[in-house]
Amino acid sequence: MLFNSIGFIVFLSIVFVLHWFIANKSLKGQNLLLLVASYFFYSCWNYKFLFLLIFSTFLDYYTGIKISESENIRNKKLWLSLSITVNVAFLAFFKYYNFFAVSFAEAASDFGFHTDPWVLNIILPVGISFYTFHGISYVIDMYNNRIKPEKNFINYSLFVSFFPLLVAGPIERATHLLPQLQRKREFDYLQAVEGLKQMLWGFFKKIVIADQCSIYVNMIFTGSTNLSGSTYVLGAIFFAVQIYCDFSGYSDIALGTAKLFGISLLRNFAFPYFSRDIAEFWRRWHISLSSWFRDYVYIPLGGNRGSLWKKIRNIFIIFLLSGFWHGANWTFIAWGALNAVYFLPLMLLKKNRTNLDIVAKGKILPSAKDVLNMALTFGITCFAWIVFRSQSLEEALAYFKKIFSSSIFSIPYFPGIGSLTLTMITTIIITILFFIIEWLGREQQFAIASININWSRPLRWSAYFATVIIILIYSNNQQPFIYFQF
Amino acid sequence: MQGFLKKVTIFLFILLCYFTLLYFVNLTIIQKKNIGWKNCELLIAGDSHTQRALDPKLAQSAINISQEAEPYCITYWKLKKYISRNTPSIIILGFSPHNLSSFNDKKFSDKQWADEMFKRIYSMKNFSLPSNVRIDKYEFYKTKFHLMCLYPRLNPFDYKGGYSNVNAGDISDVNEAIKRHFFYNGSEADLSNVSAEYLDSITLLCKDKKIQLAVIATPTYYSYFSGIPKKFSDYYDLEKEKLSKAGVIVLDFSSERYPDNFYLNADHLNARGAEKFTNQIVELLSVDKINKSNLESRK
Repeated sequence: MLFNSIGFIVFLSIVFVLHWFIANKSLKGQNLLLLVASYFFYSCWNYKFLFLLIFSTFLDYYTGIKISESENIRNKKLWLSLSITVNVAFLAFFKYYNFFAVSFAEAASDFGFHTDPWVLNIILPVGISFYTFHGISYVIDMYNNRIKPEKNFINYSLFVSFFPLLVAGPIERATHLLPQLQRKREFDYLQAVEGLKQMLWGFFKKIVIADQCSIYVNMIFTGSTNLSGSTYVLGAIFFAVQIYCDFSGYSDIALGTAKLFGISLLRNFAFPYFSRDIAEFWRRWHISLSSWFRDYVYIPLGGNRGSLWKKIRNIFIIFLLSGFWHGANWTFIAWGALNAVYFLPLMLLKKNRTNLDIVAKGKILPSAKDVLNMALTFGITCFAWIVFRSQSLEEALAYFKKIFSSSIFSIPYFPGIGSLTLTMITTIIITILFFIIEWLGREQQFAIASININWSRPLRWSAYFATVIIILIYSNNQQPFIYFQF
Repeated sequence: MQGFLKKVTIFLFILLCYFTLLYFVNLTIIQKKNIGWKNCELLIAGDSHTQRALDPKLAQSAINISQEAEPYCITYWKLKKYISRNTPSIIILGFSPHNLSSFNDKKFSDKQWADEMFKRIYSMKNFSLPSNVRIDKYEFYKTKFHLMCLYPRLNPFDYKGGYSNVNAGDISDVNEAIKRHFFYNGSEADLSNVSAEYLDSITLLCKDKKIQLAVIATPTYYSYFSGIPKKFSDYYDLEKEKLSKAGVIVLDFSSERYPDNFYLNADHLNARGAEKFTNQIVELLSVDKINKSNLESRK
């Protein structure tokens, strides 16, 4: 069940009505309903993997209690290790086994040992990377005495499986979400309206921008090999826009949906393409994952304390892990390494926390310096996205070669379509308008959170109607969310 | 909560009114607007083979309403619509072995064609499919909603068709073309009874209206032609014989050798090829030359 499907809208409407009209008498009723709905939602993808989800949930629930009950540190460590080992083992088995088997066989053949690797013919359970991280963060927080164990299995299961965040995050923290699930929720009109607005904006990003860009991205990355350098540059920019609108659109829909049930989820994006350096970009891009790695890997490793080599090691570890988290492919690892290389000079020069505030805060236009910095950051980010989007490192290198050809200054041309068709020009114009709205709303939680707050109701509603109709017009080219594959 | 639900309901109600209004606007456009098919002596119908191979500008009083991937059920409806207002002397219908492949029956249920087919049939009044052709109704109504309820479509006749070609060429897609036409989901496709029945219906339609029907197989690249599975070529030969007995002119150019640079791809002619082929057909079909001795040789 995709968020951008009629099925999801029907499902959401039913759960919303049941939640506030039937199950609203008690907290238990509310949470039980949301849990059943979440399991139903997950079963629509693949009901067989529901058992894996329930097992993983039970494991972390049980070990969490055991950690809190253990009186000595040795037992605590034992239970923590058990939980982390099993969670990581499942993730490794489903997500990385084939990668390691094939890579090992390739490495062995380089040394003259020919092996026929045994590969698994299985699909990746949807959301495994996300719910595994939920569980791990819970037991680590328990071990560090940051939270008390959740004794109610329904509440804990809902923390892991709440349907808006189940398949692609945001990666929640028990300290943030569990307390919200432990008290009965009352309907909040303003929160619900904000939720609908955020969902609308998420659908707009996904359907109108990301799915349109995907047409050209697919054409350039997987299509003809005889394109001009400028077309490949355009392809990289289109992909940068696509992946942002796809994933942040998903996050907006997830956050908006949760608000309809009176639940606030962690923010995942904060206008990352308006970042003035790569450190700021990483504070604004996929925030729930970056902060997860920061809190559970980087800081325990020593963070930016210690010798120079230790600092460099820590940076590379978290960026490589972050890349590898996305999937079992060398391209993701290379993408992580590239970002570490971008980040390192800033950290060594102690400039990684220079741009902590919002760019041009309180102003309409940025300074020339800010524009230059944003353009540079966007440029190097696009460069890294090429590696991320390519199927292999060879393909990525070939893409770079094609960009830096003599045709880089020619007009982009698409075989079978032409240079700039009306559809493409429309996509570019809508994308530019979208970024203008994002710029104007950059001080909010999401771009249109309060952009129309002072408008009269007819004008505000007209804007909503227009957005809905534009979304519907563009909805005939539905693509799955990119991050569902991770 | 009540206030919230009230506002959401009003919002949805206004939206519903908008969709309804637009539906009737588009319905009016479909009913009132003229498709723009002119009266002619020679009408060319079929799929991409005739769409690319026969340039009506090279013939006197001819129009081409062929359209790529068009199955016979749509062609039959289009011919009926055309004949209801016009009376051509001759109808040329594209007829090649791939027209008898069951992949044509999947065009209303398989995603790779269905969206395009729904876009064409949504504005066809009284169009219906036989019960043995599966249609993805959910996708059909979704497409219909998109095209009828969101904005006024000033040109709703997506089935109109017309000659279209370029002077390019790449004949390296022989295997893909064979796979596309005669295989489905990795195994050899079945023969399509539905297509054969519609072919019979078109024959009867022309007979009723006293219009001479000529079926035509356009030149294809020799390796495509020789790669057609035997089951299809045998059935094709049987159908040709049946049509011939029913008084239909059968013109089979599928094995005709044209120079490589006359092909757009393995199974289509390019603009250069179309020019030569159209002249050849016009010559063959010119009124005083439609006689048995001339045409027998093409069977």
